[in-house]
Amino acid sequence: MADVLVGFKWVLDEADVRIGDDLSVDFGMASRKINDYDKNAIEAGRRIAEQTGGSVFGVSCGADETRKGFVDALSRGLDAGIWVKTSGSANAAVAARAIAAVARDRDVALVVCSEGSSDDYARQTASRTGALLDWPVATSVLSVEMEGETALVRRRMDGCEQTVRLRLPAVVSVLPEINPAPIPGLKSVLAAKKKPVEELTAADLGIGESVGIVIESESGYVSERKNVLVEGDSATEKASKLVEALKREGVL
Amino acid sequence: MAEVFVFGSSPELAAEALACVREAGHRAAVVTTGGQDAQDYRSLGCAEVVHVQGGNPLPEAYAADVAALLEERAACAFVVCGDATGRDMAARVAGILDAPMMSEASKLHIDGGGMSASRLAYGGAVVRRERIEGFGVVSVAPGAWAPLASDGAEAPIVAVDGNPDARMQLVEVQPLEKGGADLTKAERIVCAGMAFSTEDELGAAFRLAGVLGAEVGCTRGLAEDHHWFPSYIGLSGAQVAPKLYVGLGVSGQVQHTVGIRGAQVVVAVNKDASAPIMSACDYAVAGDLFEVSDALAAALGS
Repeated sequence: MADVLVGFKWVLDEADVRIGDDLSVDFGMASRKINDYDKNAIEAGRRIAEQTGGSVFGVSCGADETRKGFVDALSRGLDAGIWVKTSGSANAAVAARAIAAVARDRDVALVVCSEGSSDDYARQTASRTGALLDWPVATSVLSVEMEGETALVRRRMDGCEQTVRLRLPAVVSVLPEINPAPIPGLKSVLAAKKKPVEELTAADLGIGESVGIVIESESGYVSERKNVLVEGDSATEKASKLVEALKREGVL
Repeated sequence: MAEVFVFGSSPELAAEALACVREAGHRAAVVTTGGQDAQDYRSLGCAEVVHVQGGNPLPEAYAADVAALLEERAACAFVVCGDATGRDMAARVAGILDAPMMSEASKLHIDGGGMSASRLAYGGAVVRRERIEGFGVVSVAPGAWAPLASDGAEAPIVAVDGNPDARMQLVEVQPLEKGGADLTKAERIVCAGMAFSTEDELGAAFRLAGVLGAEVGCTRGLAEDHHWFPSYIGLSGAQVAPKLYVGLGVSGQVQHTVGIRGAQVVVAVNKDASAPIMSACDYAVAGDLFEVSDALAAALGS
């Protein structure tokens, strides 16, 4: 029990979303990327595998476009990849089923996820995965120290830091603050192409893709702010106009 | 009528979840676990307090017990105020029950068949209306609802035996050093952005905050890159809902502005009139942040 499994998601880049004048949402021009927070998680997984002396695998769920994400993921120090092919983008519930199924079949000490992905940011995957595996979970993790049969983790909570000890095997979700995500060098990118990626389908793993949530509507967020530009010839003049406005708003 | 259960890791957070459920037209029962004192939850305005007993102080360790309770009581919904503990608890319960879960929901409706809510996606650029048929789990952001105003009537406590997961043990709790104020409760916030290049320059923000009676917050870079603050306001940080937010040198990337959408009035001070926040605020002041904040402090002081 020394291997580490890291979950990552190949997401539409939220910077590429186009909102129409009618507030319709268009991703037609969007490129994909590994969720930024997953990059920190992959590096964290790699470092933890160094602690245990085991291998580190990356697992990602999604449709055909997901396969391309493995080049980037593998260039970040993963030993191999596992692609679980689903009919569409996998939400947290489906991803958890896939990660749990993959983890059960391998000699995994720790599953590492990020807190959430930039598309949905549900922050459920790690907790759901642990629940399905019946393994202990720690979320909001800042550091992981592997101790053989246990892991000592620090969690960032509201107003305090919690140190907890988990019996292994376990699942953690890590904050991006756990460690930086180094940009892979050319050598790593070239090596990535030679690393194996196993392809499995959801059916192979016996997992369902139903999520029980229907998206009734989707539209661009509108900022309903006043957008008043405070004018004036000097900072003093602008300041005094602003103070008047804030008094009228009743917030002073 | 099928029951709604709520959870919060503190009475205040539980009361926020109760307020959300009340707005959705329902009364709820509160679940508490080993480390929580059930007495503290009786007068929040709930139908009952179900206390899952056990020696583990970590609420997350009771997820299996809570899931069993919800099933036994044929609950229609589990609504959790999602601080880190709450989110973890909620998602574990969802995983155990293989139930759908809507995270950081707003505008929650609960009807006979299920529930629907609004959620943000893609870093806050998109709003979705989502629906769950049948039982579901919902988390709401801390501070999104004011705690339910209760008449103080005491609900009964029902104690059940729990079997918390012994594989997760609390070793230590350390309060966060710089003792930052709870920004989610602040009525006025002055937020420092990446235009500040040295820690000394923050004096301007603190001076303005002093005159305004405001707390000082920051965007992600000042906390995570510069380590000038223990926490920050944004998508992966604190979500705040003050009466007044004044951003000094904040550019207004959506990952930050998602965290201030609850603000009643947003003021932005930036040298660059085309910074994103300048067209997503109530009052924009184009100018040098130091000159403007000093002028503001002077105008307020008089």
